[in-house]
Amino acid sequence: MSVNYTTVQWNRQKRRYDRIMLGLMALYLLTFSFLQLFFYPLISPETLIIRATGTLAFIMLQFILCIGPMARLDRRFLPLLYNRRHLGVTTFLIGAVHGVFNVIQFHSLGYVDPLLSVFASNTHYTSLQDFPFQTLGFFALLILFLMAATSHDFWLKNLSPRWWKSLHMLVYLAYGLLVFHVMLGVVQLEQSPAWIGFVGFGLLTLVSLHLMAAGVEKKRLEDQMDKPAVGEGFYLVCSAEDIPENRAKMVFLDGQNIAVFRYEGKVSAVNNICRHQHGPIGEGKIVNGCITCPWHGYQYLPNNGQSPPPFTEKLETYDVKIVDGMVWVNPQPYPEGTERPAAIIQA
Amino acid sequence: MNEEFYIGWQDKAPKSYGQWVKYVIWTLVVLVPLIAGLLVLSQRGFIASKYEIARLQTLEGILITEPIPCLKIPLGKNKVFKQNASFWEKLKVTLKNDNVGVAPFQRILLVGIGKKSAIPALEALAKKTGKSLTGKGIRLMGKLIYYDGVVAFELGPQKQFFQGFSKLKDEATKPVQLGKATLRGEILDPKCYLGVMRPGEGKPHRSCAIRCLAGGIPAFFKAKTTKGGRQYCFVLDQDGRPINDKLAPYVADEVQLCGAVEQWDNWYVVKADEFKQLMPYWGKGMVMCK
Repeated sequence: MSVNYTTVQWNRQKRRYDRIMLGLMALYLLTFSFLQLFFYPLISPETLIIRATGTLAFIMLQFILCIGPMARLDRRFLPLLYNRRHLGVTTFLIGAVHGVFNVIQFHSLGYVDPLLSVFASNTHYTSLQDFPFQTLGFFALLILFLMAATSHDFWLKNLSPRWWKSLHMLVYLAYGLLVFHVMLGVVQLEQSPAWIGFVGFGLLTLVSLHLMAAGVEKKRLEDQMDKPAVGEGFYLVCSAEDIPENRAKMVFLDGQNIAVFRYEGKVSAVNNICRHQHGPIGEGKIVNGCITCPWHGYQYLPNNGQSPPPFTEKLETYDVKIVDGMVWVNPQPYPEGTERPAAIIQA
Repeated sequence: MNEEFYIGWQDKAPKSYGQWVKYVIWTLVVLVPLIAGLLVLSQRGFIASKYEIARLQTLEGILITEPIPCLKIPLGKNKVFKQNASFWEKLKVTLKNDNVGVAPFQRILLVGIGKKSAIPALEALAKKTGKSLTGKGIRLMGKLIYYDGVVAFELGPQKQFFQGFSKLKDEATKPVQLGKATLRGEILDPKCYLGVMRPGEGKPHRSCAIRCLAGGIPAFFKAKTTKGGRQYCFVLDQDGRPINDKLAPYVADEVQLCGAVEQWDNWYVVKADEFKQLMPYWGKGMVMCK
């Protein structure tokens, strides 16, 4: 969390994350180059750069997309999620090296502008097999550029989390474009089962992880919905004993996504969507008296949904009551940051 | 449920998270080189084409400007050949004239810098010297590009490539008519294929080859032979004129060419009267020439 915008908000874990990321990238590039020059010394330097960076960018994007569902399925992957932003920007940079070398190699020094040539050279736009695959890579890189350029809390704040998130969901479109870029491009030259299997396995893994994560989420939602309502708009949630200390129970009530936290013998309810990147607040924990989002550690006070000063993020709050040890929540939201009295758990 | 909780901005991750991340990192340390190795080793390899990018040299021969700009270099009993035997050996050019009536010349394709024909540079030179250059003995500076016994020469910078006229005299050689043929193979741009790019063929190279053909670099055909080998020829239309614009859409595809094949010194030239794409468009199947 930060009050002022800084170019890169470093901390110890981010530094370690980046060192490991750069180390693994160097390991890949060196291994690829060494093996390439050892087994196929006839490769030209430009082709070596194009292939090394292209494959690396594709692998990194594949890995980035796997982090989200992996973290949903197992919280121990959350450290990979925390600094995914740096991983994404680096992926764009590697992809950009690939793209620029391609444009120079295949489209420059002719009579047509190199960028125009990307679209105007191969015009088999109606054929699948002969489709100008480089255009797919171009648009994928454009999406990655937009994402990299807006990968900062300044843009998150100014575009609003909703629009920012929508923009960044285009990464799935970029991935789809790149799958076709690879399959209609280099795979048609190499025609190796290993290359096809590599792309196919990656796609299958990604789809499987997302389906598994969606299954877990669906089950959670099913467990939480259709709670019977009683008078005064309150809905029965669970027994107070069912909520672990400093943790939450997440519920969907009357269209509201609510996290009901138990702490210090009290229960409070806030909106379940973090104002930073829409992380699941209810999967967080109360640390030092503050609800802490599991994704990036944004914090809120449970009784009023406000980030502790000097931070300014705020969540909607809800009325909670406890009757005979059972927790009831009224899903009518109060404006963000409105203080509501916590319900006291009777001994 | 009240297990350890990870917060990214804290100095240290909880022990269980840290331990798990270590497992992930070590797994990646093993996987990353394996993936790199798998991708490298499953490539089909690269041909031993050559582009002497850092070496400018001068060649002497008879200049032919149209339809395919080239330098005809005398062979056989000519002194130039004797002096340059090792040169041809390096280029893996077979110097035996195994066809009746072929004059003792070796043709070297001339190309311009980048994805451009040599013709504009030669036209500018003709304008400057006030002479028609075709059939003239000339010394040109440039860079060699060669593979499989076929040689191209990229002209050097505009102000440097002309190194003067020479005393070599042209012996006009008639093309040898080899009859009609149906050839199957891939349309390429010779500059990239012979050495400027590796690989300089196939789908990834399609746009570049189209750009080269559009720049006037002669269309080149790698035909499959019945014995599984390859034979190269340049492609012109029935009247012996370039048809790059018509061939460009077929670059990098499996193509069938039909036409009269001629031998121009060491080159084969097919004057195509029909060309068809064989397989790429799904459902079309194989199309035969008439």
